Amino acid sequence: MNNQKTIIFAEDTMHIAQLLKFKLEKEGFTLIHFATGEGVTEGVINFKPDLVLLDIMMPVKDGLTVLKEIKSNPSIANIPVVLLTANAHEEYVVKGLQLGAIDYILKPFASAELVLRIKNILKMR
Amino acid sequence: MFIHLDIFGFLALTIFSLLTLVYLLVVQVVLLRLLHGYRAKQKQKFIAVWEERVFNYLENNEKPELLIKKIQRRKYRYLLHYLREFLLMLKGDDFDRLSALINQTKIQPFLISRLKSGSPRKINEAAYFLGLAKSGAARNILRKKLRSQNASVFLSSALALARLNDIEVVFEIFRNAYRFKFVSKDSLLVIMSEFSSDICEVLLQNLKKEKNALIQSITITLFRHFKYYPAGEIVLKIAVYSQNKEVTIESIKYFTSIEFLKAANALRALINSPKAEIRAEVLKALAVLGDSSFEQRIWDRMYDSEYEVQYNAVTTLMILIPGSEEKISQFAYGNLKDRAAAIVRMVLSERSIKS
Amino acid sequence: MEIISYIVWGFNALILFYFLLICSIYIILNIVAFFKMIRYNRTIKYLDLKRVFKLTNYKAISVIVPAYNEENGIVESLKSLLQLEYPDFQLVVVNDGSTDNTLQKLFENFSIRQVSFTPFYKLKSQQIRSVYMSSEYPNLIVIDKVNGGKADAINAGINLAKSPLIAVIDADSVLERDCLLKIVRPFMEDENVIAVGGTIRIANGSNILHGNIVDVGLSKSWLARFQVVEYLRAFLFGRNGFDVLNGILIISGAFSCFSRDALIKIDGYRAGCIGEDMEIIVRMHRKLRKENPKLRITFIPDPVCWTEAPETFKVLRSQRMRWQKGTVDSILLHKKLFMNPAYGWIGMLVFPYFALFEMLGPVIEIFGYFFFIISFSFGFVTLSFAVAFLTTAILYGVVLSVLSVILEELSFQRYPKLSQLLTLMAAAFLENFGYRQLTTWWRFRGMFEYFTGKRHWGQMEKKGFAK
Repeated sequence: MNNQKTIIFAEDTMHIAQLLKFKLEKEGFTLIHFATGEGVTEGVINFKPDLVLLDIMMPVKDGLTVLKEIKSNPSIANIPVVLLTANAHEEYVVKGLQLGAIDYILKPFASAELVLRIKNILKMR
Repeated sequence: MFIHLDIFGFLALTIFSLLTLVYLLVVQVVLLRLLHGYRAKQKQKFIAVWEERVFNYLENNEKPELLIKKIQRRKYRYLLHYLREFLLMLKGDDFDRLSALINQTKIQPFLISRLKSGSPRKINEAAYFLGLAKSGAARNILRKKLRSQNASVFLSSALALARLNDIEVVFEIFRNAYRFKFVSKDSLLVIMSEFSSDICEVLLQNLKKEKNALIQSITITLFRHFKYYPAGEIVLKIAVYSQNKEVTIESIKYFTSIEFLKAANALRALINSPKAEIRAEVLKALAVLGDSSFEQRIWDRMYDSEYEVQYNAVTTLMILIPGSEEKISQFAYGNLKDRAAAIVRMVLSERSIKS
Repeated sequence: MEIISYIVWGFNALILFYFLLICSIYIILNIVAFFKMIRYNRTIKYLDLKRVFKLTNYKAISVIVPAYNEENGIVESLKSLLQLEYPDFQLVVVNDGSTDNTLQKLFENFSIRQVSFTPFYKLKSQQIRSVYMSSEYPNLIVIDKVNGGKADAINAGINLAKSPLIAVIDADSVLERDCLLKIVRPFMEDENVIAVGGTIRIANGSNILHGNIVDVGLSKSWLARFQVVEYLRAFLFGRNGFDVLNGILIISGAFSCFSRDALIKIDGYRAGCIGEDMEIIVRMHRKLRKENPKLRITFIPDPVCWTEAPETFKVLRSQRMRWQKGTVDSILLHKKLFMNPAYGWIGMLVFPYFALFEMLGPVIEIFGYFFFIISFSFGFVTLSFAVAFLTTAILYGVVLSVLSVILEELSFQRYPKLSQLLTLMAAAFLENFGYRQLTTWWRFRGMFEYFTGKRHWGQMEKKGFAK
């Protein structure tokens, strides 16, 4: 049985992405990273991850658009999506939750907390 | 023996020397580009090695000093710029561990010595990182830098002091900002919003006697940003008397954000302001702060010359007065030739599509 | 005989000196403005002003996108426009009676539905058939109207735009994501600003994904590369200097932003005009700034918009002839400004500069070359004059072109590779041997056609960004 969980995450700040990858891989997750919003939805369709972590402000395609695409596709709509966003853009959070995101994390964030929240969400499933 | 030059020859010579100058510039620019390219590669190499070290350092209890010892002094800047994103976007243990890499090691004296240098470029960079890492040791030097004649030095030290939450210098920052043309409301807002919410109390004391409209409006914006409740009464007094559009609009937004119901009376006066932006903002605020006694005044705004105002009037009326929906559509479809009614029809159909 | 030769000599010397003087003032003005800009950018380098994005009272902007037969690119363009970074903006698409499936595409992709409408203003335009709004994108509005040309379409858009600021763009412009944040700054900093233009760059050879610039590149075609240098020169070098004098006379139609009140006051765009983007600015100077000289028409040096340049001689020729006709048209329509002290710097310096260099420039240059060749072959001129003439005509151009590439490198550095920089340098040098003369010739022909009555628009063929 393969119980390694897969997470797709989209984050455009490279070093932060590397850190998240390091932290989450340490916890036994498999990570697939996108540097922009482009292709994320297709990635979700192909890999059927256990969770999607989306930055909202991203070049080419923003996180909320990706979220909308995921939630409007029945084959992947049930995959939990967690949003990551700068606290200056708090009102996007409400929009994101309305669109079906399960949780959000405001930057600046503590990586330990982020890992815990992700684990909890996956446990509940 | 002189070379014979007539006027045309002189012209040609001028242009040729200009051309030589441009040629030298080209060479310089290309050399600069090569140097930058080299540095970028060095930085990449540095990160390739150091990324893992930093990540591991975050996980274990290694002393910061031990880690920094492995870096040559001339490569400190690579590490600092690498840490920039992390210091901005992380908090909690991660932030403490990373800022310790600056504050508890030789990097701090390195940055402070640069802060004391004469070059604005070095000072700005040093101030930026000392601020990001919240290095209290730099406070006194940064305070002195507020008096600098150089706008960028002033801004970078002010930003750093704000991150250090050095509330004593708030008004020194305001006072000094006036010396520079470049320092706009935006830049001051960026700086002030980096302080902790403690700044609000100091600002409130000052607001009671502040006459300057720019400082008033920044202050009120910050109250809204920090969701600071106790300033309601004072801001209300200012909003009523101010001649400044920004101040009035900021006040209305602030009242809405803290749901300051006492402001309703002031809004009654402002709803007929000659400035459309103010009218629109008042109507938006009334959805939160108003009550049924406003009904007639809001109805009057249906005939406003500005679409935004009319739109807000319809929306607010629907929220505020139960059953007004029907009345509004009667008005809209009962007067087919009336311009205001036509616009209200547009508002209604826009609203029906958006819901 | 001797007297005549002295007179000829003196005349030539005068012209050359005059020319050199103007150019030198021009260069100095520009370099001063340029360093001011760099200093400003360095000052705010560490501030990251976007962090207060939501706290600041940004004025709302309506972005008007006139579209005529754009079925291939319109969906991509709009999707990327809807992602612009700005707290409060509205997108007003005007379908100018397209004969293809433009409107159909909008129906399919944006779930738009008809709404009841009443124009807020009464600018002249062809009849509006219907107005649509989208349930999915609350800030999108589509106007369907009878065909009437670009100016006419923009007027219809203004009539239904609800924001106090109006940005006008081309349907195929590729915008930088933060362009609205940048273009709005002058309006925020000075209440008297009524119009702002930004820098336009050439997109050929860049990698564009869904209407976003992903990698900035250079086209393989030298014709496009020359135009890159030409644009750099026009924007980094030309406008900065005029801005110091509050003397911006053209804001490119590919991206411009106005205060709505100003547009309404001057009755909007002039329909049927060849160079409507220049004409409207000149008219603003003429009508509004005369009333209130404090009003400002300004320009931001930051690149905000990328556009596609023609890569064939035929299309480029018709574009240049059209532009020249537009310039002539705008200048003749407003010839009252010429040397009119009532209009300040504009009347006394900037407008005459445009009339002399932009409008008559090609004529003077072509005659100059012609005259020079004749008199040289008849032995009328000395070798030193010949050298002076050629250096002024060509090397001075090289100086300006190369300098503009250097300015780009010192300021925005949008071309990431060294090889691109070197290519641009080479293009800056080479464009002065052939390309510039060729465009001068086309502009000359444009003038000629303007005065001989062929005032048609000329077709702009599109290569398209669609992938």
